[in-house]
Amino acid sequence: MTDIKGKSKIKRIFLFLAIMALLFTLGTNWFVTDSDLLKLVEKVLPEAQSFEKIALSPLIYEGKTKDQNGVEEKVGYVVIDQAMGYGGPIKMVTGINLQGRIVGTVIADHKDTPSFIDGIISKKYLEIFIGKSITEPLSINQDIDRISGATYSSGGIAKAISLGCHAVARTQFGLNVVEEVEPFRFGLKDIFVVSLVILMLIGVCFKHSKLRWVTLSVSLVIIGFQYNTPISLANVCSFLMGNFPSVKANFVWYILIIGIPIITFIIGKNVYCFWLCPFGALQEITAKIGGGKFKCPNKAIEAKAAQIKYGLAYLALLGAFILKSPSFAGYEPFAALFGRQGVGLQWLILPVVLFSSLFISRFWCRFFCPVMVMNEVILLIRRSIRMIKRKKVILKGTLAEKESKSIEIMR
Amino acid sequence: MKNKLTAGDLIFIALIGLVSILILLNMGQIYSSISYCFLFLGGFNELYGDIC
Repeated sequence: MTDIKGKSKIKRIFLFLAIMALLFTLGTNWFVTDSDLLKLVEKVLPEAQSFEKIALSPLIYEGKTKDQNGVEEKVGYVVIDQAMGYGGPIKMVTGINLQGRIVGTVIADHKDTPSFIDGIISKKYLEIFIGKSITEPLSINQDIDRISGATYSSGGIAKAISLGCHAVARTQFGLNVVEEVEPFRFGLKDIFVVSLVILMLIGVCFKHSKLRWVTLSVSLVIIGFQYNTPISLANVCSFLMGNFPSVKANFVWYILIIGIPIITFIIGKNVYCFWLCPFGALQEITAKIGGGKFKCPNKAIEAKAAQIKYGLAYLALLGAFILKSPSFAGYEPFAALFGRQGVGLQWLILPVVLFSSLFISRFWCRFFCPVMVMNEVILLIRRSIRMIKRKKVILKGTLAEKESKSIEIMR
Repeated sequence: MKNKLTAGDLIFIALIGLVSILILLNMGQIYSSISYCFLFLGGFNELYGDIC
C-alpha cells in the first residue's frame, strides 16, 4: 500500500518537474532579450564607428563617425523591425545611408522554418534590397520579387524591411510615407471553414451522426487537400510562443487555433478530431477499406502504446521552445500528404501510418497525434475546473448542514 | 502468471515502434545524416563522404 503511494508521489513530482521545464523553456521565448544585435548593426552600416539608440519602437540606431578633428558626424541609420513569415516572425536589421537608400540588410532572428530561410539566403534574396529608396513600397506584390517555395518567408522579410525603412523615412527624414493598408480577406477558404464549423456544431448539438461523415468528407477535401490548413502542433506552438499572424490575412488560423479549443472547452467534447480533422477522415476511410478491425490482443500493451503520443508531443514542444522554432514541433505527416511539403522522414512516416490505418482504426490519432493530446488536455482542464466547483458546492452544503444542526442543538 | 506475446502483439509492437522511431529520427533531424550516408553508399562520397 505504502509502495503504491510512494510510486504515485514520485509520478506526481516527475509530472510537476516536466511541466515546470516546459513552462520555463516557453518563458525564455517570451522574456529573453536579443543578444549580439550590435554586431549585426555594425555589419549593415560598416562605415559608422559608433551607434546611438534614438528610437525604441521600432528600434533605430544613428550611425556616427569621427572626422580628423574628432568631431562626430552622422553617416546613416540602422533600423530593426519584424514581420510574420511562414512559421513565425522574422526580425530584420537594415542599414540606411543619409541619402535614404538601403545599404545593407541582415536577418537578426527568425522563428520560421529553417529550410525556407536557408533557401532565401542561398538565393541572395537580401541583396535585391540594396540601393532601394526607403520611400518605396518594398512589397512583394509590387516592387520586390518573391522566392517561389518560400513565398510567406520572403514576404515576411520584405515586410519587415519595408516597415523599418518607412519608420525611418517618417521619423528621421520627415517624409510622408503611408503604409499599405492590408485588406480584410474573407475569401472562399474562410467561408468554407466557418460553414464547416457551423455544420459541426449543428451535428454535435442535435446528435446528428450522419452529419459527421459530411463534415469529415468536406474537411478532407477543403481543409486538407485544397487549403492544407489542418491544426498542427507547430501552429499551436507558434501561438504559445506569441507569434500571431494578421487576422486580416489569416482569419482561418484564428478559427482553428483559438476558436476550436474554445468550442471544445465549452461543449466538453473533442469535436475537432472526430468531426473536422481531415487526416482523421482519411484514416476512417482507409479503415473502411481495410476493415480496421485489428486490435492488439494484449490490452496492457495497447494501453501503454496509447501513452506514446503524450511523450512525443512533450518532446516536440520542449524542442520547439528550446530551439525557438515552432516548426520543430510539426512532426505530423499532414503537410506531406496535403501539401506535398514533407520534410525528410515524414515521407516514410506517411505510408507506414496510412498502411497501418487500413487495419488499425485511427492508428495515428490513437497512438501518435499531438492534436489529440492538445484536445485531451483542454478536456482535462475542463473536468478539473468542474470538479473544483463541485467540491466547493459540496463543501458549502456540508457547512450549511453543520450550521443548521448546531442551531438546532443550541435551541 | 505472465501472458506470452502472440504474433498479433508482436506485429502491433513492431508497427508502433517503427512509427515512433521514425518520428524521433525526424524530430532530431538525424534523417539528414542518414540520407547523407545513403548518398555516400550510392557513390556520392566525393560530396558527402566527410559527413558520413
